[in-house]
Amino acid sequence: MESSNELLWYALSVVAFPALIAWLAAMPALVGPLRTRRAAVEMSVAFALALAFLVSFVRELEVGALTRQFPWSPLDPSAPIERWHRLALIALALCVLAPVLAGSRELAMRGMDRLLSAKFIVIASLCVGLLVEFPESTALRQWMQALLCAVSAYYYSRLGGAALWVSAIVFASLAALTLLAGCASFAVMCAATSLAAFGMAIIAAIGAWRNPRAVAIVSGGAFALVAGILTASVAMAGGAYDMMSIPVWVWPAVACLPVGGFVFDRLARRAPHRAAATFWRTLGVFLLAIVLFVAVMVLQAADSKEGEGGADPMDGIYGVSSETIHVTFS
Amino acid sequence: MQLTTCIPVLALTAVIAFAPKNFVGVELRDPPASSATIKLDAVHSAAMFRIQHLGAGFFWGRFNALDGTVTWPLDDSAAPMFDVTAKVANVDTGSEKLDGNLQGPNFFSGKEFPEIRFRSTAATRTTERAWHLVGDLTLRGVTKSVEAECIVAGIGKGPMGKKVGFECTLTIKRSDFGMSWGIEKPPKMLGDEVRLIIAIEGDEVKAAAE
Repeated sequence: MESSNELLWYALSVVAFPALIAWLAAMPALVGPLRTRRAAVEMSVAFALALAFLVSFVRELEVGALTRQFPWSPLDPSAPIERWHRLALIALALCVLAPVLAGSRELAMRGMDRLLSAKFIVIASLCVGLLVEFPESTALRQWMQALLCAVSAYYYSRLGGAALWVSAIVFASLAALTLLAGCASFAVMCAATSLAAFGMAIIAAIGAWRNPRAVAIVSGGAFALVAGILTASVAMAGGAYDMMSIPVWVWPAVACLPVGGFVFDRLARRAPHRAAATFWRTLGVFLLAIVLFVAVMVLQAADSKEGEGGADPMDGIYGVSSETIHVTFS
Repeated sequence: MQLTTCIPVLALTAVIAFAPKNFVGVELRDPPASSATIKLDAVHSAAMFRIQHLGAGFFWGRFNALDGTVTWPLDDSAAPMFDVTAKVANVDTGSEKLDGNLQGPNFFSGKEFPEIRFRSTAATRTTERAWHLVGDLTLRGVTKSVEAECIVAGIGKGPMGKKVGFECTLTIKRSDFGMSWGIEKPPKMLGDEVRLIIAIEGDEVKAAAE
């Protein structure tokens, strides 16, 4: 009983608490007076998403795992710098970049805000591709990482009001996949980010219902930057640390899940109101995620069946097959 | 009276003076020139580890196919010096899923730190063919000094020549090596203390002083 309570506290600490922090950070712009200001909504939602991941990282590990990433921090020989800890550095950078981009877009001339977003996303993607190396990295893999960040951000930017619901699905998928891959800590952080996005989506819906002048969730700009870069980075890290032989194509595929928002594009475009469009876009991503998971499960099952029929690794060690050795007990 | 007091003192001095070199309590850091190099036989060398699961039973796993060498004079005139490497990819718990988890970033992080290495740096004889070793264990990129009890299991004859067996036992705290998952977060999933039994068998490849 005591142990199950401790486990519950742990789950609350690493998943629910970071999500709660994110909700509180986004609350003024989602249900408060700032809901009528586009830049405030864009900045808060994007910042809160990155913050959820960052807080979960710090709760799961320790602050030292983040501060050790900085070159001026004292070297602790008992704690190695693990490459996947760079994910926290990315989240921290995104926490800073989100308000900068949202503010810059607000101040930019009309029509220039998209170009500004594109510049930010391309530069950030290149930085992640060039500077964040996971184990067994190759030049091709690094370029693919950069490309995946940009592609993922692009699709997020096109989702409109469905962006938060979609990011909740994508991070939940990443949580499940990384758990399957044997990376429990990644799973915890993705679960916290997913819960944060899910909660913010609900709060945003309440805010829109309460305030007729409320602006829609802005999926472009800062949100696309944060969600796209974080999704692609976690997916690439999951692929790099995967020890359960999940097919390699699954990782980029999960980073591109937002593309599912265009499965029912026609229905979404013809939707009579914003909520209906959000429903169709979210449904598309949800169905695509289901298809992806069924494919992974089928392939895993096929793999394990193949493994059962494999040769006994002890065969030949004694010069004869283990099947030819018979022991009789009398 | 004075003589009876002196006898035990003289006897003790004699025992110490005529005792074989490197007997109890003598530290050795470098193997003598007469040492043979024993190359580990991967099939018959493994490291077993034991850890408490959920505060209940002790769970065992092993690293198969150890690699490395032991330098030791077969007449036991000096301490064996170990340089043994285990590949994280060779962890074996009997469950593929568990093996994958152990190789993952929460435990041995095999993609980033593919090898675990033990190199003995000093030894103290405890009894005949038994040594107390001090060495460096490198795990997850962290190198710490550890202590191990080591015995020479035996010297046998194989088709390729002499075969020598050792068994070393040591206990480490995995949190010392940055492997803290499951100790407090999530709470009490796995113990901190890990007991290791390194069972080694190797073939003599060189006897320098023959």
